[in-house]
Amino acid sequence: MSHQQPPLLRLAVRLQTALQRPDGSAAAIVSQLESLHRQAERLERTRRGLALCAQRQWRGAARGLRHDLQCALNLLRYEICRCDETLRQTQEPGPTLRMLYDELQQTEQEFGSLRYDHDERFLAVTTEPIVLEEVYLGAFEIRLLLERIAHGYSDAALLVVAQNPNPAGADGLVTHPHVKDERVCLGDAALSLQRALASGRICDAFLIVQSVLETYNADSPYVRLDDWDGRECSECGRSMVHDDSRMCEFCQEDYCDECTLACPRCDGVTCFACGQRCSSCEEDHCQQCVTPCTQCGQKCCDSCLEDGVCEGCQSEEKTDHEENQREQPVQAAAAGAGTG
Amino acid sequence: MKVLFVNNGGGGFADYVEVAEQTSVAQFFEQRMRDCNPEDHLIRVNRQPVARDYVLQEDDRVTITPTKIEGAAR
Repeated sequence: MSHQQPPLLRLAVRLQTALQRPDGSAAAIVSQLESLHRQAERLERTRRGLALCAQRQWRGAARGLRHDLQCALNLLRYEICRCDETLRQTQEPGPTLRMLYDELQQTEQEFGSLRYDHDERFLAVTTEPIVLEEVYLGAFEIRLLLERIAHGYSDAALLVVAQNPNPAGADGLVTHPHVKDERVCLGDAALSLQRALASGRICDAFLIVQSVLETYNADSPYVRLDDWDGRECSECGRSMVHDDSRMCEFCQEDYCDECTLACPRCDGVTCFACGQRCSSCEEDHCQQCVTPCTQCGQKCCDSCLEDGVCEGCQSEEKTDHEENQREQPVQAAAAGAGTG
Repeated sequence: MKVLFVNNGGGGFADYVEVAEQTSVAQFFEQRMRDCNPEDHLIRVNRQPVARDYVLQEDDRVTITPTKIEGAAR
């Protein structure tokens, strides 16, 4: 059964296991110390060189070594800081079982319920239904994946699942302006959430995510709330509100006004794929308002056809006729000379 | 006296801080969260909601979490 409600103490034990620091902490410190040692050796070599230069009055060589000394000191300082930080992190005690138990208890109080999914190993709370700028988004379940809590990437440890989805019209994966495909973009909350999880402050972590869900940042949403009910243009993918969308009369798909044209003959709306360009005047029409020329087969609008013949073919016909007219008197004259 | 102060706003902060005796929660908020509105925050002492005139005790744990935090889009 994946929807059991285990006692909080058992859950606290699972959480404590999930939050344990990696066993490789001692190996990490040894590696840091080796880097530090290499820099110290470099410093010693530089010291010996400088001492020799000072003894033998080699001023030029000494200037070069002073530069080496500066680099060695900078690197040594960096390695010392790295070592210190690693040591500090591995010395911090993990959260106690008592603390985690209290965290879970507080989480239950703050959210009204807490559930643990045994199969997928996550803790979950559910928010109240969220409405942002009169757009109903429904309640969200915030899931904390125990496998990923200790990895340090807080957004990878979280899923936000819409309980009564009202996704954006233009993108069904966006169930909240800052949630796409069940991943929340934490924005200003990223660092505080990371620190809360690292310290085992589980309730704080859930509250922080809830605060993000209850806030609309109009400067950086996946889909803006004023475009929420819009649809996606089938051509360019732009989000459109209802008033801005146009439906092609032929393929019945929705497009923005930049990806459709109005036929100059019948005013019908057509997308560019369903439209047809007149070969003669080169204006775009709907496919019903162009007809193949009976002579060359090129599609032309009615304005460019006369008796079903395009202007180009008409022009050729006229030219042929005129040539025939010119040749007739010559032929007649030639025929008369032959008989005389 | 010392209290544990957990501030879940900004970069997050959790450490012991010195507080004068007889400091109320409201006064503590005003001192530590200048220019912030208490109504925009969840304030808990020892994991419980308290009245604004609650007087802090030694080793109390004070947690302040903003109710509005701006997310973003990748």
